[in-house]
Amino acid sequence: MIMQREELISRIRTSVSNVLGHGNFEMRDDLTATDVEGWDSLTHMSIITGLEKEFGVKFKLKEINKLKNMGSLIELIGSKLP
Amino acid sequence: MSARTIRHAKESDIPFLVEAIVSAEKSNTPRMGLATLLGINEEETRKHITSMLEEDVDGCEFSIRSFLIAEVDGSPAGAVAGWIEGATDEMPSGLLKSNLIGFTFPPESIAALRTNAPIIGGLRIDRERGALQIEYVHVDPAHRGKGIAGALINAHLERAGQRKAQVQAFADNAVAIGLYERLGFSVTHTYTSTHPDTIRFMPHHSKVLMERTPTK
Repeated sequence: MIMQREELISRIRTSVSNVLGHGNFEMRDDLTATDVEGWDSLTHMSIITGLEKEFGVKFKLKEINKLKNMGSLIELIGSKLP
Repeated sequence: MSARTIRHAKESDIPFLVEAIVSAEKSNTPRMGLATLLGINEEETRKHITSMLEEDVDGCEFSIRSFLIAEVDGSPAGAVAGWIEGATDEMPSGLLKSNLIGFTFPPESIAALRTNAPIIGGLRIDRERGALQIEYVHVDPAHRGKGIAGALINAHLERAGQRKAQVQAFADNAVAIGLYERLGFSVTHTYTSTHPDTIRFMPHHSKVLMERTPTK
């Protein structure tokens, strides 16, 4: 079953919020880590592993090093789902 | 008279770059933040630093291409990392470094880092996007006092042109701070970790951020 983009975005938002302890950010495509309170080098690791667990996917280092913003993160996760 | 050249680092320099990173991390103390925060010994940390360098990621302090090497009589004598913050795929170097650590170190080390990092949170310095970042300044003990570190930093500054440059040092490292001042840097901020356990993990509880803005 193909996951709808809205559901994908909602699950990413929940997963990221769980790590950060807040949901004070909009899921805009151009959102970057620096726009989000508490998304720093330490929480970033937990966000990445949290997303891997949530979606049952594994990222490659080259893939996550190329993530420009939330839009590219959504696209990357979407591309890994059946 | 010995012959000195400055060149870009390459893969075969990895063992020397590991020495440079370990030595700079320790800043003349037995404590290397990378090892203490991740809860592993120095030997294991060296292996993981090697793995991170081998990943060939650009744009942070664990990038081979960030380093310039000074050779004396054909052998590496000094190394300094330098990169333009945010220039690689627009990704802050802190996140590139996080990704590398997350992929390279074992899960139990990452768990230790999550516990320990908040202790030294006061020492975290945000890097300015677009500014040249100087890191891991290292000269082999046998070649110190010959102007090698200054020559390497100057080579990075020349490559960066009219960009602002930033460098960090532990506040008690008078030799490094003096060198950076002679190269035109001045202290703009001091960061202090007030947590009493800081000194278990890091060489010192205070760091300075030094900046250099070129005169037009």
